[in-house]
Amino acid sequence: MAFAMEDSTKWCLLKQGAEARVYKTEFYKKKTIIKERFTKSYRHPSLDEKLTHRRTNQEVRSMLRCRKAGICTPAVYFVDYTTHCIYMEEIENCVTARDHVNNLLDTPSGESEKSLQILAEKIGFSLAAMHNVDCVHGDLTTSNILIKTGFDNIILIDFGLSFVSQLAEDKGVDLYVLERAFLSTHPNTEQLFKTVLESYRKKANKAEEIIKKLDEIRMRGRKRTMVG
Amino acid sequence: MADVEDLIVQHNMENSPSYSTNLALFTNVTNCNELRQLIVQGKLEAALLNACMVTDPFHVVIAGHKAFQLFQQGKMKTRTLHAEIIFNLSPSTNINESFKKFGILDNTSNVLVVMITQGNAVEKISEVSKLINGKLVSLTALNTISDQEKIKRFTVFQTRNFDVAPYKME
Repeated sequence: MAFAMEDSTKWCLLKQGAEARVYKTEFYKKKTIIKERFTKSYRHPSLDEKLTHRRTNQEVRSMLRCRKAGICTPAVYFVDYTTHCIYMEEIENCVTARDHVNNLLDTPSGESEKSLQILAEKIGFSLAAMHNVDCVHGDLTTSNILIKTGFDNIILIDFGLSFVSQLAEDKGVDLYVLERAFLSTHPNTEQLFKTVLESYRKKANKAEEIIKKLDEIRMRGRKRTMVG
Repeated sequence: MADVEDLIVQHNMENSPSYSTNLALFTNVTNCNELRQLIVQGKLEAALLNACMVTDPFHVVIAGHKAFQLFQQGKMKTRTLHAEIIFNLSPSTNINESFKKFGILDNTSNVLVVMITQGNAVEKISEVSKLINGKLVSLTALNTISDQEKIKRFTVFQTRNFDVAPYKME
């Protein structure tokens, strides 16, 4: 802990969420992002330790799993299990898909229409590849998708809520979460999201089953009704 | 020993700057058999890596960082600090297999010496380098030595898109 304290002086806080703080720093002369899960004093210490540890572990595992499947995620440099810090690659020259889409929507033209279509396809393909290795992201929003200038593929970030599951239900919920996030941050883009789903359907295993589930989930919401 | 000093690359530990990871690359090494014996006997305190299996020094430095941290916490999987470095480099969790792939074998000719030391390491490394029958070269030669095909075979990635994160040390 003492080390982390000492270092904090040159750690520059980028963002703070409910679960973790994200810092920017250098690690062996490389630009690095550090995601630190802090202790929560309202939880019993041993429970807190266990939960934080498991979530850190899960996040790193999912990132590795996706990377192995050829999906772009930041490279993990190092994980400190005592302070629950994940040291990962800083992706430079990038914008979130959220800003990117908004920019394109603000300047309607044939060209921006076309690049939106291409982006939607890429998102669909990446999600299909991710679900094909049974990795469920858990927090898909356009803010968690990065677009790097000069780099073809999209980059997925924030695997904090991700888990491994083979169930069509979980994958369906994943898509549903993205749909809700997508349509609420970018109004009147129903057509665009359809493109995402279409390209997803082309590449995903058991796509029909998952899309069918998605329709079901749309009717009832994310949580399953527990009756009987 | 001025030129030895120039050819050793030293990285201070983040977290505890009084310690450092030191890298030195040797080519045309002929006495690996002997060196292995020395390590097994505990007379040589260094990690000797098969340089063909290393794409970039950054990996090694990080492996050293992790090993050192686990050493401080007493959570190492292997018996010594330097063995832990080799183990950390490997994607496998099998210690013996890791040594075979990433450590040196009797016929290895390119050896990357990694030592974690406190304070100035030049003296210690010079001592070690006297034991090695080979030529100390600049670490930049690693580019030509590392065997990409072999590494790819051992780290099973499904091709595609690995230019996202070029692990290059500046």
